[in-house]
Amino acid sequence: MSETGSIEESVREIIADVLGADPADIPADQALAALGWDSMNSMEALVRLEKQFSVDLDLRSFHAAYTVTDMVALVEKF
Amino acid sequence: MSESDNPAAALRAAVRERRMPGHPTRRALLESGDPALARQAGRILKDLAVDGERPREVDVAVLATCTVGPFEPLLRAQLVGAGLLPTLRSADYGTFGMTLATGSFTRDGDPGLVAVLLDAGYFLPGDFGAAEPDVLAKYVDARLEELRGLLAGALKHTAATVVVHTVPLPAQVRNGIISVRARAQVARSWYRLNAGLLALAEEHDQVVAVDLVGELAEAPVQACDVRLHRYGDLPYSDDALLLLARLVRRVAQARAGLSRKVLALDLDNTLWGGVLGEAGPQGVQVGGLYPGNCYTELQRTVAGLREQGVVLVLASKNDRDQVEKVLTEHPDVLLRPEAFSVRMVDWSAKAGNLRRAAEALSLSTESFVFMDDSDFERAQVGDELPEVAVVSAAGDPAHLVDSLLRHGWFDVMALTDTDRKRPELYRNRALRGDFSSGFDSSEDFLRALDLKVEVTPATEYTIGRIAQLAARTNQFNLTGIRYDEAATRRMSEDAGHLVLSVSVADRFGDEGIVGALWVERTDEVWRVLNLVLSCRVLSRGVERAAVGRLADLAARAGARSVEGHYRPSDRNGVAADFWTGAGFTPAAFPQETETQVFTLDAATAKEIAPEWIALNERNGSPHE
Repeated sequence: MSETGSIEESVREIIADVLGADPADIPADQALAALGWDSMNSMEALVRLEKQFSVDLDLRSFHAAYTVTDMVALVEKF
Repeated sequence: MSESDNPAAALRAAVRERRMPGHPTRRALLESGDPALARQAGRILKDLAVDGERPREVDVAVLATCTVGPFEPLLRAQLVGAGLLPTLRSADYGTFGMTLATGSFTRDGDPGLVAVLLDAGYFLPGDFGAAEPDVLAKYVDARLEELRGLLAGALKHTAATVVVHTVPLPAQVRNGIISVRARAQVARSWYRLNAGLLALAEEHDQVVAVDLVGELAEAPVQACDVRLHRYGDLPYSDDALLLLARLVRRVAQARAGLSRKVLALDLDNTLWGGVLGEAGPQGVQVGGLYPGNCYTELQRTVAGLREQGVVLVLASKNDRDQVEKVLTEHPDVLLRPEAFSVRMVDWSAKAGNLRRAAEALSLSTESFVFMDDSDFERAQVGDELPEVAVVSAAGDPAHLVDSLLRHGWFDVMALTDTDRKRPELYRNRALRGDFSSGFDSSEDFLRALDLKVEVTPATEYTIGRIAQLAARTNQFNLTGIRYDEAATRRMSEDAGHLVLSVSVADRFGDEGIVGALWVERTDEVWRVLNLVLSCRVLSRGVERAAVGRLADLAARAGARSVEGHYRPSDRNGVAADFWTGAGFTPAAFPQETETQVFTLDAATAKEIAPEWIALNERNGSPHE
């Protein structure tokens, strides 16, 4: 459980960085599309998440992830 | 936490306070290989504006055959890291051909630099028969020809420096050809393409070509993330784009005259292995097998830099006599004592020694690179002289050469004769410093110097050096207009203009070309659009001798007056009184510009030149 917590923290931090936002302003279940999520910054987040967690994501499933929670689930599958 | 530990926070603070980020942060930006940090930095710096003393600005247009994507923020971070304040504009997606065809790179004005981002897709046919390597090769050749034509056309409409790069052949293409012979044939045509791209720089003075393929070959990064390529027409990974951004930054840095001129080196465990005081003259490691050969390679590299004009300074805490002995007598030492323009071998703090070396050379510590293996020495210099670029010689000595060269501190646009002679000039320069303390008045000193000044029209051989002076001179730069090589050449060939170089020699040696004048001439008036003079010859009357010579030429050509311009900048206060000091009369401010105008009757020219200077008369046509 604590591991999930720290993964979520890292995911949130990366997404906040990419969006130029404060991590506290990104609720876990908020749809990122509402926060300025676009193709360019999502690609940046993808590259950073893969590096951070040493994973190789399938772009199709990454595109199907709409929230921080979805992305944590994606990373945890590895 | 220091600035370099958290660059993002330091960058936000700089943007908030409307100033350039500090030296440690900029160094961290330049040296970091992490694209995530660089993208973030580039994003933060998009809002950077600077109050007060303005850094060198650079106006960059990015033109791409694919999605520009993260290249813009990555390049911005690199340019700020180099101390430049950039304005970056990317052409719209899909407008590559159109933009080149019209030669108009931005909607508002001609940029100073155009960074062209090329990808393999531009040169490859949409579908090609893997069984027909000839067809593919012909197509690639034709695309290069097309690009060459477009570029030549575009260059007629712009004065910008255009940077192009070599392009890697995607593995998907290479491996799709199963005949090993045909594969070699395709690879050969691809190398021809890259050779052609590099040749563009030889065909046009305005074009600079950088070797991205060569960088990629040695960097532990993937050139392409195929998913991003297919999804967003992003043919390069962030890592690859960061490599390219660095290459383009090195060009921008050289072009802006921000290259470093001086390399200060430690001895123990830097230029040789071991500590001289402990191992003795025979015990230091240099030459032979590992690790001695690593130090030999470093010495060879440093000697090569010196041959290209980098001034060497020795900064070592050691016994002076013992160091002289090893440098002179050790059979494997390549850098003999005279290779160093200044030798600071004593037990004082190194920052102070570097400052004294800079004074002896009449150069700023801003042009210094300092290499040392000791964490303590590097920290001491870094703290006291943050403007000095500090290179670590710690760790495995096999990395020494790469650590020194990796960041391109010494890159210049082209080597001039003056560059090659510089170390010798500056050794004389340091000697001259000793000489000047023995005179009662400065005029006695100047007389004893035996100064000779020669003012001659620019030639094919001197235009490079003249443009370099325009780019590098900040203090004695009367109007701040930096005519580049292309503009200087145009003016030197035009009957309505004249470009003159100013060379100086004295009893200690030949300084070479140290100044230049760009002049607009009409029948009545000769107008000095700009006059620059290297600060190393200031306060000797050279500038007055040069203008005296110009006025003399004007009078002989029948012109009635000579007009001088001065436009104040943050750095050129030293030249504010130049025209009035030379006998010119200030005119009323024309229109609403900051440029001040001064005039002089051409007939009174002879009186301007100081009597201690011998003016070398040589009447040459601009094309001699």
